[in-house]
Amino acid sequence: MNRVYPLHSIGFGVSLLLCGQFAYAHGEVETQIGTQVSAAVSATWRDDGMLLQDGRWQIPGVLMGGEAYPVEEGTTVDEARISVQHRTADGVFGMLQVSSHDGVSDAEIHHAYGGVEFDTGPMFITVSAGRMAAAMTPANGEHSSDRLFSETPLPMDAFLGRQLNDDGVRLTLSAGPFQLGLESWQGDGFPANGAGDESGDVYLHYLERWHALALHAGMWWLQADAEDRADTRYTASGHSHGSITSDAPEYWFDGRTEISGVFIRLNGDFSRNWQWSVEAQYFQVDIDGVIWDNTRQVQWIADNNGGWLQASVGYGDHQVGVRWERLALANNITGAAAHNMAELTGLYNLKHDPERTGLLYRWQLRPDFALRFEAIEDAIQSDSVQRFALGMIWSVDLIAL
Amino acid sequence: MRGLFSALTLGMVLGLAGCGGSSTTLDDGGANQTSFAWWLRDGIPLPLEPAANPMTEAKFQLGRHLFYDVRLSGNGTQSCATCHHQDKAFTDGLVVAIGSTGDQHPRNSQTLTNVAYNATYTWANPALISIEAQMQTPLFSEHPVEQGIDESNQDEVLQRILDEPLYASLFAAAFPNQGSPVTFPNIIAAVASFVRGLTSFNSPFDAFQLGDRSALSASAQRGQALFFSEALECFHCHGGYNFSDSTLDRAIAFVERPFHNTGLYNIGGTGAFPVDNQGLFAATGDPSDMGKFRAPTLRNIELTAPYMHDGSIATLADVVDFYAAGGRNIETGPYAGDGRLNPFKDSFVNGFELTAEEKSDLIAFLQSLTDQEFVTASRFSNPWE
Repeated sequence: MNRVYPLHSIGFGVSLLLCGQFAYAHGEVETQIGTQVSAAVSATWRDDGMLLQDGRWQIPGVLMGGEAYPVEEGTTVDEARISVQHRTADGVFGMLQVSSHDGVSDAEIHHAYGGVEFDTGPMFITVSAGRMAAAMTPANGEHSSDRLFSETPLPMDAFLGRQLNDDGVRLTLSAGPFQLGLESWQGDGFPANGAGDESGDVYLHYLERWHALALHAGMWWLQADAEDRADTRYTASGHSHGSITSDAPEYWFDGRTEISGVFIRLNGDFSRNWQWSVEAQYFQVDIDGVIWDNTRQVQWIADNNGGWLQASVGYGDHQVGVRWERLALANNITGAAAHNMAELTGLYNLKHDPERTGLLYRWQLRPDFALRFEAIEDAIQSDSVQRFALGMIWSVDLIAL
Repeated sequence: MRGLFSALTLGMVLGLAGCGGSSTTLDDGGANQTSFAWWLRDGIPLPLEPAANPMTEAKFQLGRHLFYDVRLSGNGTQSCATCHHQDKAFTDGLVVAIGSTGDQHPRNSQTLTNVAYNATYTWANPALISIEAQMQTPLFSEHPVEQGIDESNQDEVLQRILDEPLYASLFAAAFPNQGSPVTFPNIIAAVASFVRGLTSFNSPFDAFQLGDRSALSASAQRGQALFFSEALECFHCHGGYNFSDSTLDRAIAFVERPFHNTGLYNIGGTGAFPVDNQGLFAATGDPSDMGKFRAPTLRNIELTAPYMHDGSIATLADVVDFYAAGGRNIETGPYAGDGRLNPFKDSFVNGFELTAEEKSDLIAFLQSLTDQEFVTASRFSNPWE
């Protein structure tokens, strides 16, 4: 029998868990042989929600979509999931995960994939196929219970519709500290849009450990083609009201999105009880396509970028952290309907750089249970808002065989 | 290696801190350039201007005088304004229009509210796509006679215009460098310019859209939610800024000219409409076009009773009841038949259930589309008074 989390003390290992600094996010099969069943719940009370526009969350300058939902006032279950995974001694593995996110989605099969790993001597070759989260950056596979902060990083919401999760195939080649990954997606996940609109990505990661210092860094590139992509966040069936006063304006995007990213995650310890971590992520996004509604069409070219910086320091069961996120969104819209479509889609951003800064205190009461308090300065809109959040994270291995 | 990653981290920190400069560059190719005072609010695109008849204030003012001038008719008794009263949002309050010689028109006088945005003109003619072309009908039609200008009186009509001293300067300003500008093509161009300039976007609904949360009563806001709900389906045919799916402006790339059968008739259960009022079918001959008419704008709808293409529904409340029933069942008479079962009826006219309060809310919202400035503004009023 293998322990999934061999944490013998609340120390360095806890800081790794709490900081979300593992090389493997929750959606990836652990390396231990056998069957494991795990569950996690993250729930948060917030004194205020994100600023909405006509009832919708719109980052000014972003063509929203995917599952980029706002946090709301009151108590919400940010995430609830249960996972079953299995790995054989022959390197065959599989995972099934059912989860709900953001307090608004019904439970759904989030991951359902299998794969096999070959040891060829000079390198490990791993092939995975099924529904899974893209692995180009570890941030893509994380949810509220995995992250330091409860809210999804702003660039993830803006550029990946929160998370790129799709049916696809992944090939990874690992040699020493380097890992090369190639992923091909069916294209159901934002920023692609189903119906054969394929997407794919390639990444190169570097994972190393020097004594108490652990490093995960990488660079990646993603391309996604979309046709008839709509913002379906507020429409259950993808159909909405074609009206200026309806809850969800109806428009579609046809075109290509290319995202380049780099990231680095470092964590270590000062002493037995003192730990630290830093993370930096940067996205460069190029979009070229057309946006249209029932009667209008415009050309849209975007040169966007964004990222976040995060750091934390932990002592024993206690941890404090800070995260700063920022987007810079340069949109060029051409066509007779440029003004109208810019307003309809929310791409008109009045030269505002969306930002958000968060401070955090986290208390690991037990190995499987933590509380976190967050203070957020939200300047995503031109009007900034402060909010406070108190949440709990329960994350446990139910079965390990 | 650690030095490399330290440098990478520092680079990202500095890069992220230095990144910025969000911007939105809009290039509409001049679509929002105009020399005419359109009286539009923010968010409303400019209407199209015909290349052969660009909008000018001089033509608008000349057209305004002609629009209200009864001398612009065969017998000198009827003007455009006879059937298009400003206080009724440029309708006449009659069931059907009456021409200058007493002929009864088979259809209800339509509002001229925002006709600049119409994708087609009249109730059901897909080929009529300019005001200038449409104006041939009221001026010169013989069946029925409207303003009744024909070959026998056209010179007399022009002479009446020439005899009015004010017109000399108005025509000269509107059509400079023309030796004899008093012609029917110029008259049509001028009246079309005035009618095209009849824009109405200053209702309480518009104020609400622009951020005045107090502009709509709670009842009207509830009615708005009903109007745009999938349960009632109203917005499908009466959506968009002009509350009509038959709307055209400078920004539109895909032109749609839809027509709808709302189940008003179903004579003998065959889907037929009265022979003088069969809608799009009269133009196309396609049986499936029977009873299809253009969805008019709902702006100022409170003022444009009676309703429907033949004025056969008297009040807004009756119209709501009609759509709630999913059509009209006429039990006796020559038009007997259950319109609710009309085989050509639009799929969005399915009927719905409303409480008395919800009906009141819906009507309150429709009343919030009334633009009092539009129906009182001196700019659009009779200059001869």
